[in-house]
Amino acid sequence: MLINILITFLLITNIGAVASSRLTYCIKIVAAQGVVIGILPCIIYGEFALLPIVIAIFTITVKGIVFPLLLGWSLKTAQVAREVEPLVSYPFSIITAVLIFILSFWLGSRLSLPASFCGYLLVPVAFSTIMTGLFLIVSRVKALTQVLGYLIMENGIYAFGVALLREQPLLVELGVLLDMFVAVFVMGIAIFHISREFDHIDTHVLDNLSDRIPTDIRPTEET
Amino acid sequence: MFEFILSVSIIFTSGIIACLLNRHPGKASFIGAAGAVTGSTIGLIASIRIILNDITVYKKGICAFNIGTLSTGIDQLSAFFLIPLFILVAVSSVYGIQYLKPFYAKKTIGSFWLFFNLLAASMATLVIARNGVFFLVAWEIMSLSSYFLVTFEDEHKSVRQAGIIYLIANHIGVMFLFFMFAMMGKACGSMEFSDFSAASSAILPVSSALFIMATIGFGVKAGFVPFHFWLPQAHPAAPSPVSALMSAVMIKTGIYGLLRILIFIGPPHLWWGITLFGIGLISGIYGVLFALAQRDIKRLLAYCSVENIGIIAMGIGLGLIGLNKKLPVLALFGFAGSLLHVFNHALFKGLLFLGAGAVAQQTGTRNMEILGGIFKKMPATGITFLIGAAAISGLPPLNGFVSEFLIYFGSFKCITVSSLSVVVSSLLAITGLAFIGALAAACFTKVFSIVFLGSARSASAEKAAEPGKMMRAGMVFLAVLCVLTGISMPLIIPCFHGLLTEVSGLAFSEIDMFLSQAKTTFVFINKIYAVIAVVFTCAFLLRKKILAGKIVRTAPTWDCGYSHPSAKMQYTGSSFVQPITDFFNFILRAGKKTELSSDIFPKKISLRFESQDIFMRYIYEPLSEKIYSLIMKLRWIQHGRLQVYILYIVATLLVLIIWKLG
Repeated sequence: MLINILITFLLITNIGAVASSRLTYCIKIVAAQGVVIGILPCIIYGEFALLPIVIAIFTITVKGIVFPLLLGWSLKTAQVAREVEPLVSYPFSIITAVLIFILSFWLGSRLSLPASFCGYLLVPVAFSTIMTGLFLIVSRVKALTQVLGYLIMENGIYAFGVALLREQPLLVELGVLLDMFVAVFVMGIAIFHISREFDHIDTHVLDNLSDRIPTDIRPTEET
Repeated sequence: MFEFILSVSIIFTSGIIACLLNRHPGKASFIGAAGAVTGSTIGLIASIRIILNDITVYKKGICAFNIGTLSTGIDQLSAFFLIPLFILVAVSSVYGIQYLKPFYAKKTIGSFWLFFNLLAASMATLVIARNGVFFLVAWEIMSLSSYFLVTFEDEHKSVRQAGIIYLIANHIGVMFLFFMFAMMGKACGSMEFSDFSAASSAILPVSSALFIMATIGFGVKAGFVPFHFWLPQAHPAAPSPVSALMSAVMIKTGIYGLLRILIFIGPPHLWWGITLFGIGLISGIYGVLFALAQRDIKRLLAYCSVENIGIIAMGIGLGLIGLNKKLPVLALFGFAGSLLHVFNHALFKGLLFLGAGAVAQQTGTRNMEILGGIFKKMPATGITFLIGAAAISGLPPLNGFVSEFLIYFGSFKCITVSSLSVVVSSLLAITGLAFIGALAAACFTKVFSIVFLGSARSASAEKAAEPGKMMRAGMVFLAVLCVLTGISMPLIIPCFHGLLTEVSGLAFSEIDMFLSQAKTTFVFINKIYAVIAVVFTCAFLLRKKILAGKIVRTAPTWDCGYSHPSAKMQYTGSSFVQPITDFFNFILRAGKKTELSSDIFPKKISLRFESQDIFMRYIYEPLSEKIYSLIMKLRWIQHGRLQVYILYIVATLLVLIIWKLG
């Protein structure tokens, strides 16, 4: 019962992240999601051994406290407008999130996974969390929202691992978590520097750096 | 065999050492050229020994990467192609030392020698390779290293463009070769050349397809019309020692490959011979006509290479027709003529490119219209260039004459045969060769007289001076070889015994008969030379005697009694060939602009003549425009937006998952 409540909460945070128009709110949702993900293994395995608890505490600290603080700090120092700036409108984003959820259920039913011990809900929700994260990365302009999307995607991967394996993943996740930490750290610094150099953190302006040839400059023959 | 591997290794290693010495251009030049000369000398001596003793060596190599073995071997055909290769490598590297001196400050000389020696080593390797994969690897190294040599002066836009065209042409060609070797490998179950010749019955059903692919694939490299389009671009762009090496030897690797494949794929069909003959005839006429219309001296020489490759292809075509119709005379004269022309063209085209390079470097321009009168300033270059020009026009007693003569002779012998195809092709060969020869003579009269004779048309021609010793040495050496080959044919022709056996597959007795016939003819020709030489010597002595004690006055050329002669009174190159180019304008399609005046005292009249390759203009350029616009339509995929790139990945992943699970 408790598991299903947590999983449902995970799902709601997904939709909340997609629907929110304000960055600070978005960061808070992701933080909440990180806490839920951190609690998840302890509840599922139903045992209070040392290692899961240590990892749960570590996960909650990093995802629930450190990352949000870091992102909030870069939001402040980079002096970003507090809006999300979506490429896709909010209603459409919500619809997409729901569609992703439906697709995930279908995928979950098609996957022949080893006997799951945590109900039928976790795998589809983990799937939809991964895809929602990807959707956020694709559909939002700001670099900060991309970091958030990346975090949500990682949460999904973590949940997926929890759903399938018992002991081993915790160690693996520890490694992934470290990666994440470095990634967010680097991204935070990069965002800060991008905004300092270019006065904004819109990634789509970076396409000026692409190798596209303007159509008016064409190789012409020299005699 | 050991000598050849040693020679290739020396050339290759010295290139690498030269590249390491990039900081010291003088040392790099010396090491690179010294290695090339040493390696070439070893290889040259070994190849001559192989030819004289009629040896065939085959060595199965170690297996490399599971796809091919490094088998090597040498036979008469390989040795025959190696001789001009090693001569030209040695000569152009010596010439290159001096030629590169002005580039010391602005270019990396070491990397030039790396690619130059790599080109030489890869050409030698592909000639001795005895495995399909090994051959293709050497072939690709040759194409790429020559690309880097062509783009040596890459600060000019035209050079970069020429490089791209060259690269594209090569890759189109090698694509056909890949298919060809794959088909042969599939038919024979092995990529080993020895298995190709053993499994001739397996090859037979696909032989026509193989012939087509070989003609296109090797034809691009050799420069058959319509695959010649890269030659007039790449040769002017490349540094002169490189264009000499490329035009004299590298395009011949296409001929080598074609002959090698023709030996493998068994008895020829009639249409193969007719196709090759037709390509040759068209290439010859097309090449010489466009050569006539050029102003750039090196582009003219490049078109002239197309012409000579055409003559070589005509010879091979006649040879195949002769084999098919069981006419050993036609076959042997055709093959012998074309093989000899491979050798001769290497000598005189190398010489002409070196001469053109000397002129271009000393005057700073390749445009013939603003040169003139430099014979007096560069006599050694002038005389050697004259010898090369006479040789390429097929004039006796030089070497260009003998190879064309063999093809003429074979064709004349066969115009009375009762087969229609033989008679028609023989007649076409005679008239075509005569036509090409006459136009080539006109073309080189233009080059020589406009560039070397008359008086200087510009300040850059005025300041010309003889190039350095090493450049002169290279040209003089090749000029001497041109003359020697021309007059020592009775000694050379018996050495063709083994070579012709390999290429034609005919019986010894027939080849012996042919060789003795050719030898008697050449002895007779040499007697005529002797008589003419005696007559000329007598006339010269007589003239000297008559003039002795009398005052001989010299005056400026085109003086004609005017009080103030101007260089503009001379013929220009364009006006010299204008009657011919007007006549053939239906092929040349040149843009001609004349500005005439009806005044009694005209202030200005002008004639401007632009000719552009018709295949380039009507086929390749529209085609590449089409491809370009098609590709530009896909350009929106590549927009540089991070989000959408990730969307591509996500979409691909999703589609894959759904496809796999659905």
